Amino acid sequence: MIASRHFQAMGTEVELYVDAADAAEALDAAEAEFHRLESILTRFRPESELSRLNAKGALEACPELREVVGLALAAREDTGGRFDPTVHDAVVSAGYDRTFDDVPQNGTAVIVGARCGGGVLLDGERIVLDEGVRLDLGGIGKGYAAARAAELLSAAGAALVNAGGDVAVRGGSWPVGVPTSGGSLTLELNSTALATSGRDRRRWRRDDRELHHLIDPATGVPSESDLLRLTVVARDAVDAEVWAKALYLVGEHEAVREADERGLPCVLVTRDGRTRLAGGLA
Amino acid sequence: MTSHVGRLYSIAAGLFVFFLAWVAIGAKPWAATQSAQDPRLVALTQREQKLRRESVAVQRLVKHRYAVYRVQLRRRQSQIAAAKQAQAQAIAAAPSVRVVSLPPLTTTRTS
Repeated sequence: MIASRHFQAMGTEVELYVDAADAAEALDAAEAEFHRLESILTRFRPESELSRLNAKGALEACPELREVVGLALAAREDTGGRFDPTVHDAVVSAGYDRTFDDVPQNGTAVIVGARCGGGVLLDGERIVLDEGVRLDLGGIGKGYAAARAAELLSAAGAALVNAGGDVAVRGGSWPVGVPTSGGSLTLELNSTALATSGRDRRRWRRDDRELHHLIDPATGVPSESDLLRLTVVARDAVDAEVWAKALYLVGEHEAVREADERGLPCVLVTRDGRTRLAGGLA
Repeated sequence: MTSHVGRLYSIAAGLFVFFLAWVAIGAKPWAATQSAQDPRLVALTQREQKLRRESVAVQRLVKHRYAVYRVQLRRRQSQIAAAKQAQAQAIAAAPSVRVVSLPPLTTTRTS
């Protein structure tokens, strides 16, 4: 019997599924973990640890914030800077300066971009940012929370967590739909994770120009990738989130090549309406 | 009779003198005097002793280097074993996924 729960957290809808007869306690724990991590990792609440770090430039941080920042810095290294937690000012500059529901869909603004790639130091319990550097842990934070929630749920039985597209699976086989250009296909996941990055949802217009939240750290402005969205399957939800963004930024041909080379199963949908499978997915 | 005994004594004395001379000549007293004084033999002896000392030093050095090499080899072998194990674990942990024709329980979307 599959028990489920849906709720809002981290600016998105979260779905929890667990294959257990009595899963209320595990579902409560997983939901509470989402809200707890949101209170630490969100950039939209001034009292969150991340907001205080961004305001002060240095902070004695809790273990979760240190772990997520560490994962983000490792991802920056692994992806050659394509995934970068220091895109905060660039995202704000592009117009995503409040929770997405409150971002005006139309408006006028001069998009100047912002410098990315500044220094972040993890020094014991302390995180220190270089002058002018601020962090956005939105995407990786969601992946981290999905993985933690799936772990908590797995105490009761095989579990799946879908945090606004970041899917983490612990035990069992779970059919998960992936939108394509002409409909959708279903992937069966076994103790793995999946994430989707794209410009088809968190988008808005400024001066008749369509903008979105996927900042290219190399330019500091929203990416001009020829992909509409890209879904990646990886070992865990953090890896899936990181590689979905890193592969999205490089565009169709390079993404297919790199996914094949790294053995990362992925579904690519191009802006001209084609769907491609790569990374061993067929 | 007397001459008979005298002859025996003479023969015995002769044999004694013969063996005495033999021992004296066999000892080669002249050879020791000559070798102790021959500078070539002295140089050769010194050279031999020096080579023996160098040989001992080289053997000691080789032994030390071999011990270091064995330690490094064991360390490298354990590193290779660890890398192989990590690779095997990575292969085992590769994402398990396949396309199926089942209806989805949930759907991913752009996050």
